[in-house]
Amino acid sequence: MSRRLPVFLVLDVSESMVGKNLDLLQEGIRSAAARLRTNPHNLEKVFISVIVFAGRARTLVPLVPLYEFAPPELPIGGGTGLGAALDHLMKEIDASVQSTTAERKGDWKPCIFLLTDGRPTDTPGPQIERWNGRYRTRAHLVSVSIGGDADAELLARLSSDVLILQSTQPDSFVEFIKWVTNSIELQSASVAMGKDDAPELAKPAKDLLSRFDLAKPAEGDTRIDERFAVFTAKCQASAQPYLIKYERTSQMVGTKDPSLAGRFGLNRYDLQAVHRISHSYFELTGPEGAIPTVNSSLLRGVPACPYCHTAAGLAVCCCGKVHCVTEEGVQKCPWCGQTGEYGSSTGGVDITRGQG
Amino acid sequence: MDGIASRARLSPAARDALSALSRSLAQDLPGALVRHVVHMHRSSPLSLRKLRAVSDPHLSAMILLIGREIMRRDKRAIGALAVRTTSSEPADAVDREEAIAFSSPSPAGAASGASDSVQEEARMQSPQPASKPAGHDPVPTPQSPSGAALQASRLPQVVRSVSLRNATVGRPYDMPVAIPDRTPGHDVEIRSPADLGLAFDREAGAIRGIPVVAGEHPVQIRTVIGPSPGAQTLILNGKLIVNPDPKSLWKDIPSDPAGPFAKPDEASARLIGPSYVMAAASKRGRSHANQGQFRDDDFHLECADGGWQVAIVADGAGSAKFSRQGSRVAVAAGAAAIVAALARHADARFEAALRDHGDKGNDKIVRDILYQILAGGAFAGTKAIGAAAATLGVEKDYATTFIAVIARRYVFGHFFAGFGIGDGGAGVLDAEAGNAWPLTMPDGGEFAGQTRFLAPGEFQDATRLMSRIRYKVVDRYSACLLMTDGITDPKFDTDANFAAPQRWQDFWTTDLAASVQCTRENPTLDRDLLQWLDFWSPGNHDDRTIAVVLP
Repeated sequence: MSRRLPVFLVLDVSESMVGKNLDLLQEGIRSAAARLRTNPHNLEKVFISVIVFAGRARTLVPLVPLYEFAPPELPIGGGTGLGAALDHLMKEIDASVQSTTAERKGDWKPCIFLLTDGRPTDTPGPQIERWNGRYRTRAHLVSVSIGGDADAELLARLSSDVLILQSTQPDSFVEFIKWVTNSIELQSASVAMGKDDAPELAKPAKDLLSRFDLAKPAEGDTRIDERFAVFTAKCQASAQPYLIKYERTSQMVGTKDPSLAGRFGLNRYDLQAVHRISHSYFELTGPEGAIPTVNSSLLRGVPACPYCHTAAGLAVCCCGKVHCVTEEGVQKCPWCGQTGEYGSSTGGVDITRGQG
Repeated sequence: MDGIASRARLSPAARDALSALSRSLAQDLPGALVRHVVHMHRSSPLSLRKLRAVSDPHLSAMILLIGREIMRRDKRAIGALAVRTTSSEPADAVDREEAIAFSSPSPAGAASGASDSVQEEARMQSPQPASKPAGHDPVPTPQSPSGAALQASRLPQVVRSVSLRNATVGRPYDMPVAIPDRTPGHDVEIRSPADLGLAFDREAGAIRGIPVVAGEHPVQIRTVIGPSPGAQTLILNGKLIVNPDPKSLWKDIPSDPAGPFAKPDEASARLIGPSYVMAAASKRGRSHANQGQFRDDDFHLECADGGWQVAIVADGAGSAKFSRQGSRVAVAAGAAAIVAALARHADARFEAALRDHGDKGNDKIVRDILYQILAGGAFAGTKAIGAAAATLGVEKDYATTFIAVIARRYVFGHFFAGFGIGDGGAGVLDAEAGNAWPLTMPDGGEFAGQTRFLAPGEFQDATRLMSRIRYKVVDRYSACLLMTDGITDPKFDTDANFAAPQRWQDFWTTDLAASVQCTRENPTLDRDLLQWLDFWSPGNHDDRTIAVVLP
């Protein structure tokens, strides 16, 4: 009877991850699984589950043996609901991790890698309490903050292993995935010898990961991810959704730090990318709190619609939602159905932004 | 590339892109291609739709030529690029996918890699457009390659993706794939760069076969669907992950015979005693074999005066670097001490008390004497480890478990006594009656491998030490077994099961005694046991040692 080693990947798929990070993460999961598959210990022991969260959380892949694991396609959502993610994770642990009984040896302590790149948009206090009370001692949880913007203090309340992924080097993500894979291997070898007290974490490449230091002072606390302004839009012709992502501009004074930018009055955003998304986005997006907006005068660059390729991909309907418009004539809003003519505005319009 | 450029009448921007591309083709094929196509689009001031209308022929010509260049340079590469174009009616922007797939030439066509195949299919994912970008554009990941043939079907094509369950080398694979509207009589072809060993079973409507090659294989299923005038070629693209056969991943690397405290990777012995036959076998586990490490288990069999027989097994701790030596010296020293103690203490008084051990007073006498013999033997083992550590390393480096049994036939029955520190265990079983009696007790500390080892600390609590001793007198028995956890883990799994007579019964009748002829007459009993130790049990790859005492 082989004891299983459950591995949970709990991944932040909020809007701020859209783009290169998400592609790299997806590819990373594929390559990690491929590497793990070559080790016979892993093939017998390792079980993998993938949970994704934005505003809401969802199990993308339930706990399956490594040899059955097929790398999933990662969806996108709005918001960063850490509380929802923890809730979901705890439910999954209850449902799928087997404990030891008199007749059968149960699973090794599950290894959980929690990845997030932004501050939570919900209040995870009660979930953290529940985690610490009933789950912390029977699991190994490693939290990784991507780029250092996540609320590391909050993550530190969950486990003593909080690592910050410096995403400055071009292949940081690839190295990071290697580190996750190595850590899983180490843990797998460790439990093979009967040791299961602390998670065996691999030694990361130089300057890749740094441990979070509780002593350092925290940055400002915001619920909205200020590095990016992301808008959800729909194509007028096909009603398909897409995301428009603007990044806070680093002008000559050059800063991406929101508090510093505020001081210098650097509040502009440059168009970074446009991405098609599927309807799963809306399933993953959590309920909005206060509706945050960005004034359009702060945005530089106009996206093309990725479906019908019209040049004007950012038009705001009176219902507040964004959609694309063709160059002339009467337009119909794919969100609310109202029709009308659109012109360019001089003063700037407040547009509803995503939570990030 | 110059000859190609002149043939295709490319714009200056495209030409520049082409020459830059040819420089980087050596390093990064599909990525470079997509990046340069993106660059070409961005550098033009026209919007994407108008750009396509103007330069479609140039674009597709360029892609075809680049694709051929890729094939020529890297015969192993499977580049699949898809172009998604929009029809010219803006009102109902219908996407029409043109598929161009470049596959590595099949072995037969390797020589003609550069030939002009008139019908080439291509599929390329269009880059995410962002007109007038100010920041950096994301580089889209190229579509995962799909293998397709050089030869195209002249029918219009319908391309879809399909999701396939994982397979394992050597295990039968059965994956139903629904193909609506399939034209009967037409073959359903499965294409993949490697010879997968799979075919489409039309009757079952499934992919079947036994895969032979591990890895992640792009797979394409092709057939014809629809009624005769409106038939289409259906192309299903997917990826099949084939797991390697786990058994094939275990290497068997011999340990270094010249290494420190070197020990043979396997051992067995058979000893005919005055009353019983004893045999033992010990084999290095797959974990150690995979890395060329030593066997850490050991055993010792001995006959002593007065009809006594002694058997000991020991399991060196995996994390202790000299534990192979620890187990070796512990069983040797332990056996010697037990033999000496038997001569001194197992006298007539012992026999008298044993004969009537139901009486509490007698039971205490028996236990006190067994304490001298068995605990004393274990203590001698500990001292031997201490002596070894005095020369090299520390005691912890030699950590080992210790399970000892003494046996003797008396007029009033068969007597067995056992003593154990650490996991594994010993017991006596009577298969005919379905009875079993453990001779060792489990140590606490279930979850995190808190196995105990032979150490001076274990000998400080006399009560606890005494509780490690168990004995039994039986009229009849089938076997007495001593096992390290390399065997108790796969065969019993938990301590509760180890105490369950039914589990012993099942283990004996359906497993051990079914595979090995466990009789005193079997001349190859020890080698047969050794062979049995090779059993396959996923997740259980520890060293394995068993000793049997047979009537």
